[in-house]
Amino acid sequence: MKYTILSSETDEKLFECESAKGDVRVAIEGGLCAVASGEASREMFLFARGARADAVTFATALGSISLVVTRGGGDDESGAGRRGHRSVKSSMPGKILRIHCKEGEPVEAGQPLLTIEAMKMENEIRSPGAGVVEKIAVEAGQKVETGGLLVTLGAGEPGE
Amino acid sequence: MRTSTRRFKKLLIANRGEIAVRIARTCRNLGIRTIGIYSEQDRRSLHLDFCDEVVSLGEGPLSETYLNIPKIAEAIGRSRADAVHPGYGFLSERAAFARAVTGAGAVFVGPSPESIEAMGDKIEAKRRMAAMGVPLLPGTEGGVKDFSEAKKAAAKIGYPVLLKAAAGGGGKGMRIVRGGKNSEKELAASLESASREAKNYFGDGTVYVEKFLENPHHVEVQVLGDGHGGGGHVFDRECSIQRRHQKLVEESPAPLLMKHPKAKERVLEVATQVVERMKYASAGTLEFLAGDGGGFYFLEMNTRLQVEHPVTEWVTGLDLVERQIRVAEGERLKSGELTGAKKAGQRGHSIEARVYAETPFEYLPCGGKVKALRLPCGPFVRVDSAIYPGYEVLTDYDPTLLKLSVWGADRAQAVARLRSAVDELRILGVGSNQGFFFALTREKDFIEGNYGTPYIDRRMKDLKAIHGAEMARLLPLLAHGAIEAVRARPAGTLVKAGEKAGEKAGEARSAWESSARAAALRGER
Repeated sequence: MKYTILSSETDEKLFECESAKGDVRVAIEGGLCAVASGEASREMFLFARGARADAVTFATALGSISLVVTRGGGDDESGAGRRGHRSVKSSMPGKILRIHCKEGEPVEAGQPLLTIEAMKMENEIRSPGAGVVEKIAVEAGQKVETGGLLVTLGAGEPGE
Repeated sequence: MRTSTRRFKKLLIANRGEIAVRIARTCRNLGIRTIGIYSEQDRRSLHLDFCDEVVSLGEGPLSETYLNIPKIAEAIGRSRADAVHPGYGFLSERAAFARAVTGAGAVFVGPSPESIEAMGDKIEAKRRMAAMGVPLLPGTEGGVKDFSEAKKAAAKIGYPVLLKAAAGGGGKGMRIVRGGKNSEKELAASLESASREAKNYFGDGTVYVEKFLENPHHVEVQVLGDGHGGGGHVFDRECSIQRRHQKLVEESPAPLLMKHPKAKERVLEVATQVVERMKYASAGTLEFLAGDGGGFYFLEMNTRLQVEHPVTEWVTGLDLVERQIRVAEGERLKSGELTGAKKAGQRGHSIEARVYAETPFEYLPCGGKVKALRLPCGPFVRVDSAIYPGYEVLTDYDPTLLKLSVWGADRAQAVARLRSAVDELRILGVGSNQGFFFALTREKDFIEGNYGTPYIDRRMKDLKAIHGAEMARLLPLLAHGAIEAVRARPAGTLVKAGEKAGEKAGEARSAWESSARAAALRGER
C-alpha cells in the first residue's frame, strides 16, 4: 500500500512511501511519546492525533509538525491539493484585517490575498500559486484559528 | 552581609508570563509573599500558579488591564503589598507608574522616576551620556545644508559614512558612501539622490551624515546601583543575533569584546561611571552599537531588568532580581561592589535563546494549544518558561514561549550545551522558531563567534540549508509514525485529505496508543 504525507497546514505533499513494515516502535508516557526507528535512525518524538482521523502532530527538534496521511500515490487522490482546487489556510490564529482579492478574479503566485493581524503585527497571506479565487471563506473583522480555511483557489483554466 | 533598613513581606508582580514566574521564584527563595495580577482572558497564565495571591484586573485590552495604572495601584492598596516589581515591558519604564506605586504606599523595585524620565527621552539621554564622557556615534547634529557641509562632516567623521533622511525609515533616503579615491564624487551623487528620495517619500529633504559601521554589533552592559552612587557594571552581553530589531540570542561575555579586551575594559568602566554619576538605583542596561574594531557608541539605556538577564546571572552567580529587591529595601553597595559581600566576577560563558511562537525564518506568528511538552534539562541548562501542557498561546501578548539558557566553562562548551538543549526540547501543538536555533547552533560562523547584526540576512541561505537537511532526515521517520498512528484507527476512518472524519473516529483509541501504554508498563522502550 502506498501512502502520501501532506502538511496539514498547507496541503503540500511532503513525502510518499510504501507502508511501514514493523520499523516503528512506540513507547512511554500515555501514548504521547514515540520512538520511530527507520533503518538506522532512532528518534524520540511527542505525538498526538489531530481532530481529523487522518491527521497526526509530532513534536521534533525543529518544532511542532502536523501531517495528514492519505492512501495512494500523490498523483491521483492526494492531487486534490495540487491539481484543480487548492485551499489556502491560515498558518496563525488572528483577526482578518483586510481582504485583497475578489471571488472569480485571477491571482498570481505571491500576490497578497488578505491581511491577518496577530501578535500585534500585520501579516500578509500570499497566494501559493497562480489561479482563480473560487471562494473567500472569511470576512474582514472575523477571527481565525491556525489551519482555518481562508480562500479556495481554482485551477484557472481558460474558459473556466 | 550589611543590615538593610527593612525587609519586604509582600511583593506585587506587575507583569505576566515567564518574567512574572521568574520574579515569583526569587521571592519564594527570600520568603516574600507574592501577589499576581491578571486580565480575565489571561487567567490561565502560568505565573498565577507561582503566586501566593492573585488579583483580577477584569476583562479588556492591555490599556485596561496590565497597563492600567489606577487599577494596579488599587490592587497594591487592597493587597497591602509593600513592594512592586514591574518586570520588563508593560509599565516597567513609565515614571508615572513608579510614582503611582509610591503613592499607593509601596516601594517600586526599580530606578527613581527621574532616572526613568531622563533615559526615556532618547535625545536627552544621549546629551547626558555625552556630558558624562560616554562615546556617541559620530555624526552631524542636524541636517547638512549643502555638499560642502556634507564634505566637511564626512571628513571629520571618517569614511565610510551613512547619509540618512531626517524624516526617514525603512531604508528610504539612505545611502552608504565608501572611502577611497572617488569618495567625494560619490558623496555628491549620494547626497543628491538621498535628499531627492527623502523629499519624495517624506516631503522633507533634510539629510544627516553619520558614521557607518560595516558589521555592527549590539553590545550592552548590565549595571546595578544602590541609588546613592554605589554599585557599578555587572559585565557585558552581546545580542547581535536579531530579527526585525528584536533579539533572538544573547550571550555573556560578548564575543566581540573577547577579541578586544581593552575596549571591554573601557566600556565596563564607562558604565560604572554612569551608575555613580547618575546615582542610579536598581538594575539597568546601557546599550551600545559597536564596530568590528571594538569602537562602541551609546544607543540607549534601559531602566529595568532585561529579558536576557539570565546570561549575566549564569556568569556572575548573582540573582539580579534578589539584588534589585535588596537595593530597594535600602541595602547600600560600595563603589564597584555588587554582592554586598564581595565583587562579582565573570566566569565561563552563557548563551540564551528566545523561543518564540513564530515560524523559524519568516517570523509569522503561530498559536494553538500546547498538547504536550518536554523541557530540556541536564547539566548547566536553565529554562524560563511561560507554557505548560494544556496552555493556549494567546496572540494578545508577547510571543515568548520560553527562554533556554546554558552555561559552559568556555564559549564552545556553551554552544554545545545550547545545541543539546534545543535538540531535547519538544513542544507539541504550537509552532515555534525552535528550528532556527537548531540551524544556528550548527552554523560555522555562529559556532566560531563571528557575527554582527547583519548575520541572519547574510547567513539565511546556510541556516535554511541546515534546517532543510534535518527536515529531509526526519520526514521518513515521521511519515512511518504517522501511517502507523492513522492505520491503527478502527477500519474506515482513514479519509482522503480535505474530508472531515466522523466524531466517533476521533474518540476511538488507537491500538498504537494502547500498545504504547502497555509497553511503558512493561518497562520496554
